[in-house]
Amino acid sequence: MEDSQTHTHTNARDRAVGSARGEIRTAAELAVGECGVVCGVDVGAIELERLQMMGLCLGRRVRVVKAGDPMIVSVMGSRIALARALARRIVLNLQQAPCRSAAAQARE
Amino acid sequence: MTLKSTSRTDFSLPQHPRHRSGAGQPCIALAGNPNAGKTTLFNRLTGYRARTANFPGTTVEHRLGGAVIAGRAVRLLDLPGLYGLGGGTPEERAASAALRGELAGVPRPRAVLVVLDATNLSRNLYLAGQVRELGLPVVVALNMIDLARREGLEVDADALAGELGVPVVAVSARTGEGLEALRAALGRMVDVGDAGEGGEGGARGASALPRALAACASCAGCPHQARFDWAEGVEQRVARGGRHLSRRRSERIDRVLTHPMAGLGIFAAVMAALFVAIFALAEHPMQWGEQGVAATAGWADEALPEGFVSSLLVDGVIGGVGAVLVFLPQICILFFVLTLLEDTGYLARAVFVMDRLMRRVGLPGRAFVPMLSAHACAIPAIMSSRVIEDRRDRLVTILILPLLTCSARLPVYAMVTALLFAGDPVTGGLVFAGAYALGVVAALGAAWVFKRTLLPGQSRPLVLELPDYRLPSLRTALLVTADRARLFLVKAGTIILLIAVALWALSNYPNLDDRQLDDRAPAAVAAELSQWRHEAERAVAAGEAGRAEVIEEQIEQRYRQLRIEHTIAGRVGRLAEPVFEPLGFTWQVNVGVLSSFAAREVVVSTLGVVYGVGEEAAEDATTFRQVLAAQKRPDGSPVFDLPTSLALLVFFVLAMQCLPTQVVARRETGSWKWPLLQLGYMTVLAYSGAWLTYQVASVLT
Repeated sequence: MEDSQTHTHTNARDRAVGSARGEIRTAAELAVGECGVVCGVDVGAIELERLQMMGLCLGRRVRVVKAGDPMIVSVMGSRIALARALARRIVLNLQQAPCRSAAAQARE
Repeated sequence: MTLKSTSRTDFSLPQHPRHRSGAGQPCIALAGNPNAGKTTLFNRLTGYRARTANFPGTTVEHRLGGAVIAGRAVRLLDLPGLYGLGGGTPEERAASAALRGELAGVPRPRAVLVVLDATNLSRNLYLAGQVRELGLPVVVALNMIDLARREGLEVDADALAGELGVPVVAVSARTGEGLEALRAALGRMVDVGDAGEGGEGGARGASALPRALAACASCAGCPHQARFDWAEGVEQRVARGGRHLSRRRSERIDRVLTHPMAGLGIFAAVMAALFVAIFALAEHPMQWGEQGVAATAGWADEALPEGFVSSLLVDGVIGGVGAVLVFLPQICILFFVLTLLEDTGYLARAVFVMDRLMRRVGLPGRAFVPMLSAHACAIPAIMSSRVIEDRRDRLVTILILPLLTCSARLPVYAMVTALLFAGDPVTGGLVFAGAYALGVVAALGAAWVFKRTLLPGQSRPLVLELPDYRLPSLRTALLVTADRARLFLVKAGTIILLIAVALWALSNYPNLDDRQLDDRAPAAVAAELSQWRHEAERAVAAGEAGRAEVIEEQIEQRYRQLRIEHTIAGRVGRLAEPVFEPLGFTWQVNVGVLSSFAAREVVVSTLGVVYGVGEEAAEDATTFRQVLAAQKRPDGSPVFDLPTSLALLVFFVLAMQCLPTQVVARRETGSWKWPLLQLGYMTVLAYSGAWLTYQVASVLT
């Protein structure tokens, strides 16, 4: 594992449940305001570390603030600008994190 | 060796035995997320007594300052802003090593002050959790408590203290609220550290971290997930309410500022305003600086007997160093405005909008900050290229930075436009703007080429926190500016001094006296000189003292010209004649080009000397222009015709021509390979660009 170029960690059960309902998408595919819980990050080791430290890590709730390239996501109370190339490798489960009301969304 | 020590071989940082905690004063390290207000708090605690330095063997900066905590002197160590400790970035590795007291020259911290942003606890708590595991005594400063309160966010410091098992003090570094309580808590911590100082404190820390590191490496994600779950749980238990006003406001502002079109337009406007500020505000201080340098030089000239020491001090030291020092006001304004922009949160948005454009040439958005700085001076720009995380991206940026038009080129641009378009300010302005544009285009083009050849690879994809917009702290901006200016003076100043003296020697030695020059002067010049002497004698005889003085001055100037022709620089200039001849440069221009390696603007005064304008007259733009414009080649054509002048301009836009920059590039890249490559490719670029310009302009005119 230490030597491999990419570190993948996907919660297999979540993925299976999600894909059955069509609720698994990458962060790049989400529209503004949509939310999801991170269930997989499939990037190189260096990028993985950077993303994890900023909260883009398994189990965290992510909301898309701005689409495009780079895009902006909100995670753990802070906004992170993210190259689309990376957003495409962040897998989200939408079922687990239904977005709340507009007011609650704005608070996230 | 044990597993523990092999796991530490990752740290290529110099290590030292861990019982060297500095000059006896206990040291407290400050750790916190970027944008948590760590710098402001550090400045509050230390006042003006902080010094910025690099961690040994790295370009990662830390600051060390003195403070009085509970009646005793302690040292505060400001670590770089961190999201976590386990990571592999240079900042994180250096900070981890510093916290464990493994860096030579950096005192081992006895306690850690973790700075948390009260308005964003969960993400900040992640680092706090990691630091707690180091085994060092920890105090938590719950910063920005005033902002949290204003937003209706209640954070229970006592409950947080209970969760973390360490003292927590609510503070506002901006207003100074809670600082006394923080000092008291730190004081208790240092005392406890004293009591427990049996050497086991460091051992505890050392054993805790490698275990966490090992866990990270073997099972990516798991420890992070658990820690984030813990952090979010803690936040839920200790924080209540909060309308997240600044977060919502920031998102609204960002809709405009990160917009692909509007955001770019605003960025352009901000940068234009910054440029105007740099040049308009720095104008007067720069004039004072120039006057100050001239006055110092004049005073030294008067005070010292004529000779070696006087010449060395006046022309070498004061002239050379002064020429660079006059740019200090611009550098200060640049850093001041950049710090303010960073403090407000706008700089992150600027990186955001620039990322898309810079990516086209293979550079990350972050590279725009050093590229902006390079328009004042390449030296601070190269030093600020540390913000670029990826080594290849950083190297490419450093390689291309000297192509951007720095302030030192402006006197050269001004000279050439004055020579060519004295009566036509519009064309002059266009040529000026064209020179700037050529620099930018060449820099981006060179980056594109380097990213496809020598340092291939995609630039590191953008991951950047966009902090909430906040009012900037003037105090912090001033302190940072003063610190940057000091760093520039110390680091660049010493190099510039050495180079100025070396180039002074080259353009003054061998220093032949008038008789030796008479022996070497060509027949025509000797005849001219003796004729002038006769004229001067006749003028004296006729009682025309004024006329005699003018002729004497003429003779003096001719000797100065002859003298520089026989110095090493002059001889090299002559030797280089065939090389630069296709560009239309005469040997005098070559001497100017060579002498300007210490500082580009020196070419103007050197041309003044080799063309016998006289050093005083060179100050007067009109006289200077007329004298240069009147210079003729041996065949009678003017030296500074359109092709030669334009070629000279293009040469100066593209040529390296700055040894101090090269030395700084060597230091920042860690090898002479990169500055040499820089010198090589820029010289080729400058030569071919100037050659092309000369040939095309010659055909057209």
